Order: sequence, then C-alpha cells, then structure tokens
Amino acid sequence: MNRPMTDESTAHPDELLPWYANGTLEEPERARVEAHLAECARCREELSFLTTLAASVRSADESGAPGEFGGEFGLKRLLREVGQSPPNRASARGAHRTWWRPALAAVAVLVIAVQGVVIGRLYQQTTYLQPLSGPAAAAGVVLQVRFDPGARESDIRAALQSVDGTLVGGPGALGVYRVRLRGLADDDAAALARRVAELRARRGVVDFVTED
Amino acid sequence: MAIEDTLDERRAGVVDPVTETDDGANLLSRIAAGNEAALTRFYRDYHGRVYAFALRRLGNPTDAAEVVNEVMMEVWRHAHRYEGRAKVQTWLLGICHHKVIDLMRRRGRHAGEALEEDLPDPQETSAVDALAGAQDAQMVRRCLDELSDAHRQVVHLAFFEELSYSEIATIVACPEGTVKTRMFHAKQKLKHCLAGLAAD
Repeated sequence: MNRPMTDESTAHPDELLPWYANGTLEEPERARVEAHLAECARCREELSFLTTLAASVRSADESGAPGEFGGEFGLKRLLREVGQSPPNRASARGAHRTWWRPALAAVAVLVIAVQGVVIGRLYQQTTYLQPLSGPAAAAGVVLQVRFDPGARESDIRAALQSVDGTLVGGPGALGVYRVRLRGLADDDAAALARRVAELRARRGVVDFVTED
Repeated sequence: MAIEDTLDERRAGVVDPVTETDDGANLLSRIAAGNEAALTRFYRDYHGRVYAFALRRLGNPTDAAEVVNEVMMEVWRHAHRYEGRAKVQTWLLGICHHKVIDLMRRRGRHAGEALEEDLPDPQETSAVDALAGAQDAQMVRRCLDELSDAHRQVVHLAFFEELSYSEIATIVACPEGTVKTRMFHAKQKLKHCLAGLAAD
C-alpha cells in the first residue's frame, strides 16, 4: 500500500494537509506542516489542490440544500409530531435531586476497581489455559452500543450477558460503548442479527445498536 | 441558562422567550425543558447541515429529509443528554450519523467499511492534473458519488463542515488514525477520478 513516509523529519505530511487546508490543525502539528511547506514545492502544490477541492466540495454540497420551502415543510411536520410526543425530561427533573451523584460516582469507582482486580485475577488464571501456540487473537464481532442514561447497572449487565457480550471500549463523547460478541463467527450473519435484535428489544436499557 | 433555572422559571410562570443571542447549547437547555420555540429556532439554525450530511451519505433527498426529522425528534426527546463535552454541531452530526446507518439498514443497504485499495502513489497522479477537475463542482460531485460512504462522510465533514480530525472521529465513532487514513485514500481516489475526467 502506498502510504506517506513515517520519518517525521523528512516525510511529506500528507495525512495532516487536509486539516491544515480547512484551518483546524492545532499546534504542534500546524507548525510542523508550515515548516515543511516552506521547503517543499510538492506539498505546496498538494495544498493548492486541497484548498480548491474544499471550495468545490462546499459548492457541490451547498447546491443540495433543502431550501426555504423544504425546511419549513419539515419544520411543520416536526412540530406536529412533537405535539404528540413530550420530551423525555428524566434528567432535567433529576437535576433538582443531585445529592446522590457523588455517592454514586464513588460506588462506580469502587465497582470498577473491584472489577479490575477480579478481571486481573481471572486473566492470570486463564493464561495457564492458553494453547502452546500462544494466546489467540481476540475474536468476535464488535458492536457500537449506547445505553439509556436511566438504565441500571444490573439491566446493562443482563443485556450484555444475554448476547455473550463484553465491553471493550468507550464511552466516547457521545456515550457510545464498543461491545465484543464472543463465540460468534465473522460470517454468521443470522446469529449476529439475532443478538442485535436481542439488544434492540431491551427498550429503556439499550438506546442504540450498530456494527462497529 | 441551566436546565433547572429554566424549569424553575416555567413553574413560576416567568416568560422565557428565545432570543437572538441564544446559542445552540442554550437552545438545547430550553428544549430539554419542553420549549417548542427553542426547538423551532434550533431546527432553523441546524437542519441545513443535518440535511446536507444525510444527503451526501444517502444520495436521496426524500431519505435525507426523513433523517432530518428523526434527528430533530431525537433532539426533542433527548436534549438533556447534551453535556457540553463536544460542540453542538459535533453532537448533532453524531446523532445524524447513527440515524443514517439505521436508515441504510432499513433500506437493506450496507453502511460498509471503506476499501483501502492500492492506487498509484499520489505523486504519479499530479495535483496539477487533478486541480483542473477540482475547479469544476460538477466533476467534484460526480467523483464524490463514486466514493464509498466511509470516504464520502470524511470528505464532507472536513471540507463542508470544516471539522478537525478529532471531531470527525467523535462523530463517526472511530479512532483518529482511521479518519486520517480514510481521508488519505479518499483524496487519492478523488485525484484519480478528477484527473481522468479533466483528461476526457
């Protein structure tokens, strides 16, 4: 595969130039790109291409805007549906009763610490059961899952156990976790669909599920 | 204004009109308290960019409008989930990303990973050759349509929404390195496509 060189002192910063072109690159990467551009005609030409491309993408995508009529039509539909569906204000109401949050946070830290010790011990035990060929690569399909903010830990645990899933990442800024499904072949689409359906059926616990 | 302040004012019957100075985060606080005027203003401020992102992904104005409605209903129901850790734009486009994937599944389409196939080194496809094509929005639109969904979304978020690679990684829920790699390959493919069209 043709990729940019990796020696930072001499490499063309191909992977950073798009974000230099859109003005979002932060220091120290910005300074590194500017220093490189001062010496490299090839990258200045590349930047010129990206700047032109960016302007054309904006022009191309703006031409598909919904327009005044489409936007107001959509707003009327939205307000009609909103009238039939009150907002979920669970968290807003809860904001007046926040005394339990520090205690909950402390319990959560304690649970995580205990889980760390337990998992560490389990790992130490299971390493003795590894095949002589060495540890197997982590197998199974990974899902992106967002849990309902009101879901209890016991509900989340039950949901994960129902699909033989384990948390392997997250939460991200949007509250999305990564869940690995154990004992599932990559090409077993039917079994995967059943487990995804099992999670989606847990309304009030699982808010969103998709493949990673 | 905090959510609890808004609720207190509503209980006390204080009129709390949405003002021109309300930003996205303020509007979300008011929406969380059930303020439909705030939702109207939020819709007018943000529906265009949600529509543009959905349209670029789905290629169908009807489906894109459906996604806008689903995203705004999600905002109405769950505005209280916005915690201010990301920009409103990032939070909103993250919701849109998931709604697009949901709709693709309902339509029987695969949101598939980008195929990072080998193409000749970018140096062999001169930026100058591709530049001629890049100046033509029609050619750019045609070449964008030929990209995979994963590549298209990164190009749109970088050049239309002008987001950083870390913000894009948050929206599409993948590592920052993956965003950079997708952009690298998307740029290669666009260059090839544009140079080919410009040569015709």
